[in-house]
Amino acid sequence: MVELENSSPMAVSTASGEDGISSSGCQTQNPPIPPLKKKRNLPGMPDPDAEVIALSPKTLMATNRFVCEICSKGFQRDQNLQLHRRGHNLPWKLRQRTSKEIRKRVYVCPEPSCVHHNPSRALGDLTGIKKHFCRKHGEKKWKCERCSKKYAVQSDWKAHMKTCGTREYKCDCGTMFARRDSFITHRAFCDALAEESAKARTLVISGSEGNVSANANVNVNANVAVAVGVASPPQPPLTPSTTVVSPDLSIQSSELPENPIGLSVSAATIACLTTTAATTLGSSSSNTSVFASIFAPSTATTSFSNVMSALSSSDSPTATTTTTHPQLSTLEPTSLSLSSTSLFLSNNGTSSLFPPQNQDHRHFIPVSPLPAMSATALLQKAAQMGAASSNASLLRGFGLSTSSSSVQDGTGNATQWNGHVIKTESTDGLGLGLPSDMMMGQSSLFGSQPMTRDLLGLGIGGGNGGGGSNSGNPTGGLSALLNSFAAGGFDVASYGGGDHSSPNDTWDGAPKDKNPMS
Amino acid sequence: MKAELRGNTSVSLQNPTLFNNTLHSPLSGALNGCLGSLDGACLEKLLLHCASALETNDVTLAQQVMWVLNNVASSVGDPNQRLASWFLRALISRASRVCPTAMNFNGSSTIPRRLMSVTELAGYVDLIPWHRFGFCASNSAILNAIQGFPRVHILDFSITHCMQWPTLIDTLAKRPEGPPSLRITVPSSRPPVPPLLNVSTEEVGLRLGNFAKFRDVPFEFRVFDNSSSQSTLGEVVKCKESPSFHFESLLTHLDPSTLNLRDDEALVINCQHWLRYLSDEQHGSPHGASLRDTFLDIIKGLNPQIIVVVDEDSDLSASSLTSRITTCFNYLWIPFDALETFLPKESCQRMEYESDIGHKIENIISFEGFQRIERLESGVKLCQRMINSGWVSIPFCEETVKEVKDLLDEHASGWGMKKEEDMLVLTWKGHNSVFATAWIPNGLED
Repeated sequence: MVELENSSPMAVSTASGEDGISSSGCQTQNPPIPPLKKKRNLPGMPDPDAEVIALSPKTLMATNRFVCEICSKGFQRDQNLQLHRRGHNLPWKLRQRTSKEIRKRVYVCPEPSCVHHNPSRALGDLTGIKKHFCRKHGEKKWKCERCSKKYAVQSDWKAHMKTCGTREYKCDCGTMFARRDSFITHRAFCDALAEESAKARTLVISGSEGNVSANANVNVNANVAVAVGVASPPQPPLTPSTTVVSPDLSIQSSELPENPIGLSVSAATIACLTTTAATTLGSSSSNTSVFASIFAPSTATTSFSNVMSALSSSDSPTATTTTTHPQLSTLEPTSLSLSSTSLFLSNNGTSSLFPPQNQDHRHFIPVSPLPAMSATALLQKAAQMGAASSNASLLRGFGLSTSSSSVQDGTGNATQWNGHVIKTESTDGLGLGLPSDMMMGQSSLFGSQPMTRDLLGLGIGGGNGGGGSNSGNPTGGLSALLNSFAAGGFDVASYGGGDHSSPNDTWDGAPKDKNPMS
Repeated sequence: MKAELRGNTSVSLQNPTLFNNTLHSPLSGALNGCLGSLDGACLEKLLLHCASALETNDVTLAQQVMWVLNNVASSVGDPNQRLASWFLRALISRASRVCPTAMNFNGSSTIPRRLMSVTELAGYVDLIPWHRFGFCASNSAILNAIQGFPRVHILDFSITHCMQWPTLIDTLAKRPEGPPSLRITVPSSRPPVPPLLNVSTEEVGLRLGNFAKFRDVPFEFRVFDNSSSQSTLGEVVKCKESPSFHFESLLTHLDPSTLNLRDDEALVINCQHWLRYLSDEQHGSPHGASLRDTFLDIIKGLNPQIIVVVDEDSDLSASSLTSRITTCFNYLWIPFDALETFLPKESCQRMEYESDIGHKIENIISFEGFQRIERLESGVKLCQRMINSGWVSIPFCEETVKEVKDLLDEHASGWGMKKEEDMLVLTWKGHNSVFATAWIPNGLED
């Protein structure tokens, strides 16, 4: 079973220490535990027997965690401690490590919002989690003089210094590469080679690509160049002012794309993608438009959108990361699509295809995924939304309209979901926004749920998705939900620090029980 | 609104027992434990509840969960949000899909994907070592296996349009005894998955040939047409429509004469992120062998010098949707996390790469039956399958291991590698991502 344990430095040092688990840089073959053959973890599933260790930041970063019990001298590594202990001439028994059965240990990151805070993303060795913590949540104290890249971990910086500026490969087309294999691969397919060998081949793309990259500024990499090339034919070309955005600009929240630009470019890019999509293997155009519209900004101002924008203005965090903003504004649906303004504005600021080291462009500010919206808040909004709007349509708010969504099988009568045949009706009782012919007649299909049950399960009858004004019903489903939340307490602390009632059934590696209602 | 929220907070906290009611809204189950922040664990739970709701036709709950997810997920957010956005999309796709039929497989993916140029693809495969790891290990193993042979014939089964070969050609060119003659044969149709190119396979071959000429390596490139119109089904079938059809047709073409095998050649079989597209379901054939097993069998009969199999290290072909969601979520976070370390949130390259993963997620989550072509099998299972099929694994030599390590050193520092018996596994922060293996037919070891 997975346990969470806050170990004190002493506890860790007296327990069986790090038995030669190699650094995160490269793991060599784990020695099999005699007499058992090493059990291989299922990929993606944490070892159910692994001991999950959660150290505080202070403990994690403490340099001398391994303390000799005899003379209290501290060491950075357990190996060093063991070496030191030998010098104390201990009797044979004590020379052994404190016998505790060798149990695999995994470590979680102390930062609550971090993905590695979660036990299923735990890292297998202490050095790894230390480095991770430094890199992701720490201050970048090490700086490369040559290229001004910054690093939080000294070994990263050292590794970078070894290669910075030492090797650079340049293709005839002007692109630079830090790595030889990237260079070779590019070179083999690059037009520069084709032109050089004077083979007469006319390709539309090759011509424009060659020109654009030759004329490109340092900041525009080949992908952007070709992307613009692809984008322009079907659409009015994106003006330079909207295409070239430096990384710094794109980070600051105040300079995020505003509505008009966002919408216009999104429309352009959606259309462009649609056009391109028609030539891909995957999509038929009708399908693309259906799902483009799910995620496209809905131009109609529904009460849903109003609520959303109200949300953004009232709950907007003061600083922190920028990406939460577009989510809360009416552009929110846009963010789910591929066509955010900056889709064609990719710009790493480097001309080589690959920066050699782990490169953080900016200091990562630890923040929960949606700082202004706790789960409870989301549900509350849902309730208000349901009350306010007369056409409560969850996915209609996504921009997915019932009437226009045409799914592959056009025959209205023969639509199925899990093999059931549904009769078509004209009214959209639920307003799910999914193909209307599929959702109709649900009362017969979905058993106990009345057709007029509104989207949020308030159990209110009557009318078109009538949210009505019964949101005040204390025994309504949503209120009950909110209350059960409240009962649990508003623990804003992370999942790790919060209640542990659910982790067991989540992380024990067993396939999920299908029935969520227990 | 904020005041309102706080107001509710204070009221409820004052009388907690008042609200211990037994009316359990299904959504509360979904969000139990997700108080405050919605992190990866919660996202996974939400996804599972959504899937469960879909499977039990609980439309209301599905809507609710989707709404919540939609507020959290974002394709330009942090890795968890991005991952969740693609899962949500796949679930919506599943929800709105009518019963899949053979006719509409082609039109079923909801994710538009633009076609890349060859040089863009070259950059794409080098973004993270997901593919390059396999290339490097395989090329090194191939080089060892073909030593002493004056001619080499590679049967290339992959989805990356020959991006693997320039480095091999380059190394062959530098061979002290001179390069062998190199022949590369690829099937005409490939699994309908990204990355997609805007040029034909023939064009790719032309460029490759150009490069080989530039490096003075005798080179031949051939596309063999495996989308046969004389199908065994007795009627003309457009093989692009259904992948299982085209793979079956492929198998019928894997004979020495169609492939034009020559005796003095070292035959190399290269399977890069490709074997998973061969169905692993038992078919109605006499011994109940799956397409995948049949393929391995046929290949063995061709007497290759070596077969390299590289694929994604995860078991994702279970019939249970919820188990697939869990496994998939706990596996495909890796590339999202990796891309986060060095590309900005708005990066076009990053979003395209993630979109391709989204394509995979959609296939795994949203499709069933033969339309679900992503049948990932973990390295351990693949090894067992190979052994059962009469293959013997060959280890990667120290030089190969070093080469791969050097490669990984040039990428973000979370990438690592480990050996599991004869298998090499690419790891991200210790988690398995891609495995590489090399095999020879049983009885051929000397």
